[in-house]
Amino acid sequence: MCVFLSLTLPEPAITAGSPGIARRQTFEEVYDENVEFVWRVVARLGVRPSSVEDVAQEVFVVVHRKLSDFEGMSSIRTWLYQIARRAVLDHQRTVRRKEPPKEGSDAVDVDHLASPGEGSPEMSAARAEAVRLLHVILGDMGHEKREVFILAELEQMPAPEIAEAIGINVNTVYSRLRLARDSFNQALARHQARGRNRIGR
Amino acid sequence: MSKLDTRAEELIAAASNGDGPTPAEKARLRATVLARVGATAAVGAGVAVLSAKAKVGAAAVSAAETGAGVGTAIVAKASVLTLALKAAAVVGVVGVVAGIGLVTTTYVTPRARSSVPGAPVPLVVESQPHTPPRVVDITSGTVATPEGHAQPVEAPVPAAPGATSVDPRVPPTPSHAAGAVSDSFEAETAALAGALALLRDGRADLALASLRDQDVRYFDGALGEERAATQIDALCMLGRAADARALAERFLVKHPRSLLAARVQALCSGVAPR
Repeated sequence: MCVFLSLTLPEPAITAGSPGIARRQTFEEVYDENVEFVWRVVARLGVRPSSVEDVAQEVFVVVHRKLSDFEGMSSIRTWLYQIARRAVLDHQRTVRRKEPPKEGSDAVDVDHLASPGEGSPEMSAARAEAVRLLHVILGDMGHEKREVFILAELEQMPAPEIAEAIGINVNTVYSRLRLARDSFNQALARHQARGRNRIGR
Repeated sequence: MSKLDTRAEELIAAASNGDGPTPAEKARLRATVLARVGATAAVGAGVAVLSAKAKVGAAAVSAAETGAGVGTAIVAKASVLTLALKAAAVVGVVGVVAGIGLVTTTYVTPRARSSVPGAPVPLVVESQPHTPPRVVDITSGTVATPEGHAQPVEAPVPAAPGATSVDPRVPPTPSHAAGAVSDSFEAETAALAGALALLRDGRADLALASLRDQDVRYFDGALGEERAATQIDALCMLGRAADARALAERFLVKHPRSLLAARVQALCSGVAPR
């Protein structure tokens, strides 16, 4: 006696590996290898810390559903970024609809932001402060520059992959990256000058 | 190409990976995602079986006697996690509750799905008992089968929340207060402990019936893996070695890295087929 059931577990993805070698990855492998990447990207694209987990969850539910469609023509991170980017935009649209932006609503929630990690309390505090500042600066950057900066400088993704992930040409990637770096340098200098002034008072 | 200042590079290095998830967050996210996709699968299986109900007929009831339910087994994927993650699964269950409502409204029937380019191809599998799709109303705390999902013939289902076991011989699993969301981790654990106690008392038939009842009741639970292993144990005690081995094989395929894998493999060794 047979019944038709929908395929409930996704076909493994083919990941681009060494030239000519394609390896299928299961959902769990994709999750294990990329959960931190997805989480960081979601957080750095401006999702509030308290919502990062929810958005990451949406990303992986989509990944599970579409894994069998992934053909390995690009890197898995490029594909994951595209899904994460869409999930973040959807989330931000929903948030804007429900809660019109108020003054200070984009303030970075330090308590939620940085994971404690390893090391002494002093090291944890320094890391948390660095993360806070990084997110503040990213938050002040325009979306287009920000995503190129995140992928290039923070995730070390090559320019051609960034171009594919975002859907722009490589020259535009370089151009945005140049502007993003300038913007980052200036913003950091401003924050540090403000900090010095506060201490000097 | 302009470069980052040294201070900017230092900041990035200092913040490096500091905004990633903690191990607990990773575990919780994993449990929630697996529970959600498992819930999708359960609903999919439920709808598919309903669509094939005319073909399956009453004979499926006897087929349902073997093995764990498809939906349950798939949902039990969430419990591939180690025992240490079971606590995280409690949070995952909440995700399942929300997920079930969501997928129930958006589900595409397998036939429709198969017409979508690149969509998953339907599989043909042996008919097995499955878990009926349920909708949990968080506001009222009620649990019910959704409209259009009549109780399937393949698996016995409690008529209403808090209903007693489908097998009159089976001691009921812990009662669920009316209006309360029944699938709590504590209740699921207590029910499993009850089945283990029956097994220890040598009442393997009652334990087996109770475990199957629990598979239905806690189809989105966190202890599916443990229930499956205990069912294998019960089948061995009943001398149903072939059924036990079949279930063990399915278990090992689904949970190759389970902490219980070695135990499951060792079960039934030396049991003469009846």
